Amino acid sequence: MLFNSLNFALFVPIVFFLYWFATKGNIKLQNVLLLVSSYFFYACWDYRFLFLLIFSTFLDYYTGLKIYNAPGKKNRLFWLWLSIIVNLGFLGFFKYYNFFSASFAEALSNVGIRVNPWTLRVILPVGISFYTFHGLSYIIDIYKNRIQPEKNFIIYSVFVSFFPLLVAGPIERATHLLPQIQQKRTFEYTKAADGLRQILWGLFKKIVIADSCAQFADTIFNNYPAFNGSTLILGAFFFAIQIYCDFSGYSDIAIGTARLFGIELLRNFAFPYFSRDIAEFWRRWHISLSSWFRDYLYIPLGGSKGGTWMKIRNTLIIFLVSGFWHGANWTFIIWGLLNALYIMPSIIFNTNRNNLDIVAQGKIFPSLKELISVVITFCLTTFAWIFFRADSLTAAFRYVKKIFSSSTFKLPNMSAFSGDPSVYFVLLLVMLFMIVEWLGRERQYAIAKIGHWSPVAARWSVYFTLVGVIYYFTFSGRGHLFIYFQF
Amino acid sequence: MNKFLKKSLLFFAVVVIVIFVLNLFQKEGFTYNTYFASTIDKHKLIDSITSPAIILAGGSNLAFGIDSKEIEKASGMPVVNLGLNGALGLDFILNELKYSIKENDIVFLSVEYFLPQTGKYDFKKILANFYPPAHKFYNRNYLSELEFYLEYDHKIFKNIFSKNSVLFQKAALKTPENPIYSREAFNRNGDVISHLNQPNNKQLNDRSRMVYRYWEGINAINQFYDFARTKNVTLFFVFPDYAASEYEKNKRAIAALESDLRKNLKAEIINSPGDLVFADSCFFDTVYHLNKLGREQRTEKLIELIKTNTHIQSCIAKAVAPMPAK
Repeated sequence: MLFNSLNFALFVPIVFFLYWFATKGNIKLQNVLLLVSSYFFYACWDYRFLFLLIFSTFLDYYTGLKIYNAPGKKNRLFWLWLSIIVNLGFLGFFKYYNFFSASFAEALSNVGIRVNPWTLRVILPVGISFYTFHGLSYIIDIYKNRIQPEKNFIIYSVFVSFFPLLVAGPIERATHLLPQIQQKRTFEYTKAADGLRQILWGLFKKIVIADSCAQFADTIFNNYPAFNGSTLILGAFFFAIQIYCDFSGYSDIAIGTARLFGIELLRNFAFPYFSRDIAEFWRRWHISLSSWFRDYLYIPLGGSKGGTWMKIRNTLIIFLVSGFWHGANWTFIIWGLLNALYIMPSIIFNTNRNNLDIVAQGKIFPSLKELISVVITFCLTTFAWIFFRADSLTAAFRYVKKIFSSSTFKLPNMSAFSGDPSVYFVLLLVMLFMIVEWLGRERQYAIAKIGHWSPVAARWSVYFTLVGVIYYFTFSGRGHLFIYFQF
Repeated sequence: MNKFLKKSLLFFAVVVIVIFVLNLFQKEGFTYNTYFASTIDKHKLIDSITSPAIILAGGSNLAFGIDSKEIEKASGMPVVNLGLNGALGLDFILNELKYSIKENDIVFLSVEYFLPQTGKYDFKKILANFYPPAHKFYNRNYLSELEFYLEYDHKIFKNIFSKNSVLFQKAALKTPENPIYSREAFNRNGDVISHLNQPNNKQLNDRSRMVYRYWEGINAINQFYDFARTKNVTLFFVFPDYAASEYEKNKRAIAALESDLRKNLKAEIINSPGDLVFADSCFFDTVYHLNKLGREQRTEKLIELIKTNTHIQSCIAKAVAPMPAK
């Protein structure tokens, strides 16, 4: 069930009414309802993997209790590693088995031994990367005595399976989400209205901006040998916008939907394309994953305590793992490595925490220095996206090679941009969108401020315009899946 | 809560009313492309044939890439090309066959790689609007019906902002039809011929990076195979044509699919994926749609496969043999 589908548009109001009316505010019933609807939501993808989700949930619930009650450190470690190995075992099997098998067969064929890769009929269960990380954070937090285990299985299951975040995050923490599920929720008008506004903005980002850019990005990346360098630069630009609007749009819809049920999810994006350096970019892009890696990998590895070399090593590790988390493909690994290289100077010279505030805070225009920094960061990020998007490493290198050829000084091939809507209209939309994002960058999401506008007619005219534009772009036949569903 | 509900319902009601009123302007005039209407002619042909026939079933790779007349000449049997559009889904294609086959027919099934089973609901619905018996070829559900009507409504809404809109000019509104994708594009056997003398498109559509997974279509084809046997119909599976550049990119996934098919498919597979891989220049507008040259080469190849396969030859011999007098 996609967030941008009719099914979801019918599903949410039904669950909303049952949640606030049929349960009469009884928290136990509300949690049962959330769990049943979350499992239904998941089963709509593939009911068979529901059992895997339930098993994974039960495993972490059980091992969490065991770790907490274990008599000695050795026993605690045993249960911790059992959970980690089983969780990562499932993730590794479903996500990486075919990759390793095929890579192994390829390596053997390079030395003259021909074997068939032992590919299995493995389908990637939707959301496995996300709910596995959910569970791992819970287990590790118990082990580190940051939290106590949840004794109620229903409450714990809702924490893992809450439908807005189940398939593509944000990756929640037990310390943040569990208390909200344990406590009685009361309906708040402002929170629910804000949730609807954020859903609207998320749909706009996904359906209008991301899907429109996708048609050009797809054409260019799929036919890159036919185009000159300047066209390929535009292709990378369109993909950079697409992936941001696709994933942050998804996160907006997830966070907004959760607010309708009185639950606050972690923020996942904070206007990353207005970052002044790569370190700031990574504090603003996919925040729930970046902070997960920081807390559960970078810091346990020693973080930045052991001197410069330790910092370099740990930074390299988390970016490589982050790349690998995205998928079993060398393109993702190189993407992670590139980002690690980008961030390295700021790690070495200790400037990675230079830009902790919001760019041009309290001002309309940035300074020239800020503008240049933002543009350079955007260009570096976009360059790395080429590796993320390319079908293979060879394709990525050929793409890049063409960008650094003399053909870049020619005008873009307009044949790459035939589509409905036209490329000029999409560029205009992207420009307007970036202006709105810039003006709203000090809020949780770009149009949050509209909630304080008066009179009501001014607010509503914006909402109606957004609905009209979204409706215009819906059913366009492009219908791209959310990119992060594959992870 | 009441405030929230009232405001939300009011907002929703205004949106629905505005869209409804705008659409009143031009309820008339919107037409679908009539490519799917060719199914009427295909079924007329199949119904008119009393003797056993060769039926080609699959997606548009067949519609664009086969010269059925040449196969008729080579086999001595009438040939009907049911290939239309892969987006209808494998289930639709197989169900259509269930209602179309007759005793001693020979079916060549050639579907696009990893073709989804369910397909696009709106395509099935549009096709069934032209050819009502096609309602039996798919499962109707109310949610998809609602989605279909919303989409129809949305197309009208989009037209309001088009150049032809009555809001901008008084011209009669009619979506111009693409002659390549129209009912007239087909010949009597059901092959698309409108593209044969057209230049190739600069870029080929439908490029994709295939990710290997076990194709559940295998089970569906096996079920159809069992059904076909009860009707004395023989099913052969044929890998589709494919553009060389795409084949190179997706070789690994296709090889894994082939291995699954060879292990699990009950129907005989008469070729290998590489047999029908042609240079990109042999394709018209997608990586499956052959142009004139590609179509000739593929037809030749298929005829060669038919002639050299003893099982097919025996089926043909059985089909063309005179019926014993009762």
